[in-house]
Amino acid sequence: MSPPRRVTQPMLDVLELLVRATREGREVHGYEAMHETQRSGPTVYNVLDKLEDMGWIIARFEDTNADNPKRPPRRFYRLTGEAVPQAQALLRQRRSAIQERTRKLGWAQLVVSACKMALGVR
Amino acid sequence: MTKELLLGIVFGLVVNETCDLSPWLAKRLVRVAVRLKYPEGRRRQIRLVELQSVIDERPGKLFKLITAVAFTVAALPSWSSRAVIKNLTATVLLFGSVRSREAGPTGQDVLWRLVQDTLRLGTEQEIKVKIDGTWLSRDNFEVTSFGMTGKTVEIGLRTQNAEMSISIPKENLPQSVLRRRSL
Repeated sequence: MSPPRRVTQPMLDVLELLVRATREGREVHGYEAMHETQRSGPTVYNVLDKLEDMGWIIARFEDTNADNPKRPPRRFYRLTGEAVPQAQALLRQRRSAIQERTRKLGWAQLVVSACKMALGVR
Repeated sequence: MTKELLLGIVFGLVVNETCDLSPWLAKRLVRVAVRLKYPEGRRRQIRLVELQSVIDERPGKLFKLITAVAFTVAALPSWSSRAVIKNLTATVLLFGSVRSREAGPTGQDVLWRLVQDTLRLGTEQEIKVKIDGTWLSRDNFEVTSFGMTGKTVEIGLRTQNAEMSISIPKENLPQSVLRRRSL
């Protein structure tokens, strides 16, 4: 398992999703990663390629598409046991509290909550 | 009036057919995208199936097509960089001057990695060297040194019979490589 040579925001987004999925005891498929991270398909798949090359994730094809058996099987990804602490450490290191809050709330809500804090309004 | 009615019907038919054609076209495009993005190998086979499934998951016929177009457009740089590597290899062979030198091995894998990184070679791509009219593949030579001077990239090689270094003038490297590697 090798460390990432370059850490990008899409990589952090995908790692965050994978860490969350690991915590919930489930796996993530490509389309779900696109949908959840709000990133384009090529961006997500570039990240998945890199994570696979690094040995951080393992993947498996489902036997038949559980949602619709007529559709092609999906490929599910999950972090390896060794990669989970590394991914968590990387997320902690690269995503400061303010970034995390900005990402979750969005800029507008952050400004509103900052104004509220400044004015002492709860 | 009849003409306008006819145009309306034809236009409606064309739009309808185009929409129906989109999923089929999207699947075709995704196949092209995978071929462009991934060189021969296991990953290409996997992604062929996987991206078909991603396209299928996408709601809406036009969204399927847009996603497939995005995959295809995004695959173009990978394909073109592979094409550049081929040309670059040719450039190395064409413009690289070969001279004898003494060089000691200092970690084969590290050096080869440096060469691969600098020339942007993928793990499945290889560099071939033409010496005295004979093509030598990776198995026939060792990389003994790697260095950069002001104007050239120097790669030391050792074959069964000789040691030599290849000097690649930086002007022969593509701009993309120079920029990326800050050479």
